[in-house]
Amino acid sequence: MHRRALLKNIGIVSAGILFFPGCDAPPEEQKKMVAKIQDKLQVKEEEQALVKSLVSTLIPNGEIPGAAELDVDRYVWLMVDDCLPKDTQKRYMNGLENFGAYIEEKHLAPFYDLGPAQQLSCLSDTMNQEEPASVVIIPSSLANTRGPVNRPFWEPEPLAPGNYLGEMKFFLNMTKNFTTRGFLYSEYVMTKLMPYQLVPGKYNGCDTIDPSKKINIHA
Amino acid sequence: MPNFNIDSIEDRTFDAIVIGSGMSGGWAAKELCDKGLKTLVLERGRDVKHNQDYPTTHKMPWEFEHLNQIPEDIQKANPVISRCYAFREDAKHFFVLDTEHPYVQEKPFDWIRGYQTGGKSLMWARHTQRWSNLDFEGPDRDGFAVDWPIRYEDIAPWYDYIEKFVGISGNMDGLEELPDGVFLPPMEMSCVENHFSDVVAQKYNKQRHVIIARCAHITGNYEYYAKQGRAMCQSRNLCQRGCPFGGYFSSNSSTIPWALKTGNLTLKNHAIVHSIIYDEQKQMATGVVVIDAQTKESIEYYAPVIFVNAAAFNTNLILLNSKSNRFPNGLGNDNGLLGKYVAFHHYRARISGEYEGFMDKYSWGRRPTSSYIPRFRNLYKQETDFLRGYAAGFGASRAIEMDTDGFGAELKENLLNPKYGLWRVGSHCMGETIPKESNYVALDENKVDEWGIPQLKISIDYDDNDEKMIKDYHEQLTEMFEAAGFTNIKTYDSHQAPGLDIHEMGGVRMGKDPKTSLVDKWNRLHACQNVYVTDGACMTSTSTQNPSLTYMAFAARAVDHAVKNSKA
Repeated sequence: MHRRALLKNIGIVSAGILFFPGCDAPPEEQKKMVAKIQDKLQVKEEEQALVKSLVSTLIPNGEIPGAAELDVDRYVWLMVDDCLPKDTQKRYMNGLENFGAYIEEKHLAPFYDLGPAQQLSCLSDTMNQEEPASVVIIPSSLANTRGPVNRPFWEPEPLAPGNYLGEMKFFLNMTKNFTTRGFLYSEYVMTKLMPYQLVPGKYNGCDTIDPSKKINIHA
Repeated sequence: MPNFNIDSIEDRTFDAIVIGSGMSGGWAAKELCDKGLKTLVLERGRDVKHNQDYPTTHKMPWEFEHLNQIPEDIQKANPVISRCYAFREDAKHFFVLDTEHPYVQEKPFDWIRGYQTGGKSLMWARHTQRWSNLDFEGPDRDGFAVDWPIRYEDIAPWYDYIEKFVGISGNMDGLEELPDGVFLPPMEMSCVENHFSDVVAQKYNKQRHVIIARCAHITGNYEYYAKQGRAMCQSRNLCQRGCPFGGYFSSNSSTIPWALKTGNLTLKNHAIVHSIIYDEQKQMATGVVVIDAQTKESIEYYAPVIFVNAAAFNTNLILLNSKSNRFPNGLGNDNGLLGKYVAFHHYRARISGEYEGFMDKYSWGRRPTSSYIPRFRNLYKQETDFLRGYAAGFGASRAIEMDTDGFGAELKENLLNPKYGLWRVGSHCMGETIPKESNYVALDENKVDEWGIPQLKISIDYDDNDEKMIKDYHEQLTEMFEAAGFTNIKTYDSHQAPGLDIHEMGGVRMGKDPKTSLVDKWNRLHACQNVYVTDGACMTSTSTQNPSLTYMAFAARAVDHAVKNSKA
């Protein structure tokens, strides 16, 4: 089976049977979301649950709502579904599957059932493993730039065949990319934390920085 | 038995017909209507009424579900328009899709179009600069194309006239190569733009300049523009959506409503002009054949004066398709040059850098323009290994950086507490290209569009002059950047196909001699003098200026001539 082969490739000793937890009935909203995405991308409920919990791990809840609370996982799926070229989409879904299997194998539970601390260490463990890394450019400026080519803001370099770890990292980085963007451009952040003014009224080309003030990227 | 679907010939006869409601067509319509002529404007696309038909203009960023990205299936099906910088989720409804209006690329050319009331005046970048005699004299001095039949003195009063009504923001810079105009207060330059400007002025002994761009935004004289129903620019920089304030100039916010108010305008949408009707006995054009875009029915309209403002290449197409015994190769095309000597602005070259100065300052807000470097090469004499030269945009803004390395609470904290980085500077090159016979547009012999009109075949390429100019731009801007203390300087050549400048011009060029040009100094076809061409098609050379201002000036000046001439 595909999964056993890939786990061997990552160099994990395959300790036992892959364990699939019973599927609880998903809440109504999740059902609706799955239905929408299944227009094109066939997304299983546990894949959806994995991404939701990954999004929550990346930007967790707190005094300020986290990415999952702000429905950023919906944005992630929308971008994967609508805006990724087919090959990139395939790589993303492979990476998702590989990551899911890898975590289950290692921790005997799916990612979304682990505690937050464990989820965090899963991420850093995976990201820190050595391999010829796929390149995902996380833009230092999330603003759209004027340019002659309206490409999406990444250009993944080709992965060697069988580079499952590369696919996993690609999946994690891409999800992180979309999560940070979806979070910073969420209604909550753009109204409560870094307010965006639809009608600014003016531009200032040379204002003095007030070090005591937080920077508003949407100003 | 009366057929109410078919208007009588009388109902279909007007004092003037204008083909196209965009930048120059809107002006032709306004001028004709102001002078009392019953004017028919034929627009091939749907209507877009100011404010009512700007569906995205009030949307907040998160209301665009892909955060302004265009979905992959649209990009894949429409690669040409997907390369346009302004084709994003918030404005895509104003752009022509490849699939809807195919054309033939004999050589790669990205033809960017907007087919609706207002045309591309809805989505344009609002940069406006006047031509000077250093531009008009170009072909004659440097031995290419043909001599322009006009000079700055002929068009200057019309620039005045247009600028006042349009609302042009700019600074009185006193440059011979870029004449000052009727300006509203200039927009603000950032500290580093000012710094760059000072350094460049000093280093090159005031022979090179970095100025705030002149742009079609209302920054003052509120009461005057209120008469058009327009208000001051609010620095939203969302112009491509259509502006609820009318803060920038478009046909939709300005000239079309003004023309409608006169009671003399009839605007017909979904009206594709198939050809201009030439009457062999009267030896003049008498009207146009229109195909209804939706029903595909054919209908004729008549007028003693016809303005062709369909946009540069569409105007070529209509004239080429207007065949008769007198003009078997297209209306006015005795010399066979119709469609030839087309040109554009090359936009391949860019440069970027950083600046570690003014670290206690930052820029904020969304200024809807930039700074500008007027052409400084070969102004007064030939000095380089290429002809003509380039203008350039320039901008400098304070970067904001966030550490995105971690996960979890650490990442969240870093995202919400970004830091200021260095200043980022950038410039892009806008280069004059030399019109030549080998660059042309023509009717395709085989392919027709949905309405039975031949598709346009475009055959345009870069030449050696462009390559040398791009090299010079990189060298010169690098030198200027270094002088200003900019670091991490990178030059780029996108190697993109021509077209994304969206400044394609020519094919119906102005000239003194009917043997070597198509229109005269009044923009009339030499061989059919009741047909005027005042959009990009009439351009004999391209110079470096963003051309819309000049098209508008030509349109107003030509209407004035047409009306005076008809009374003579």
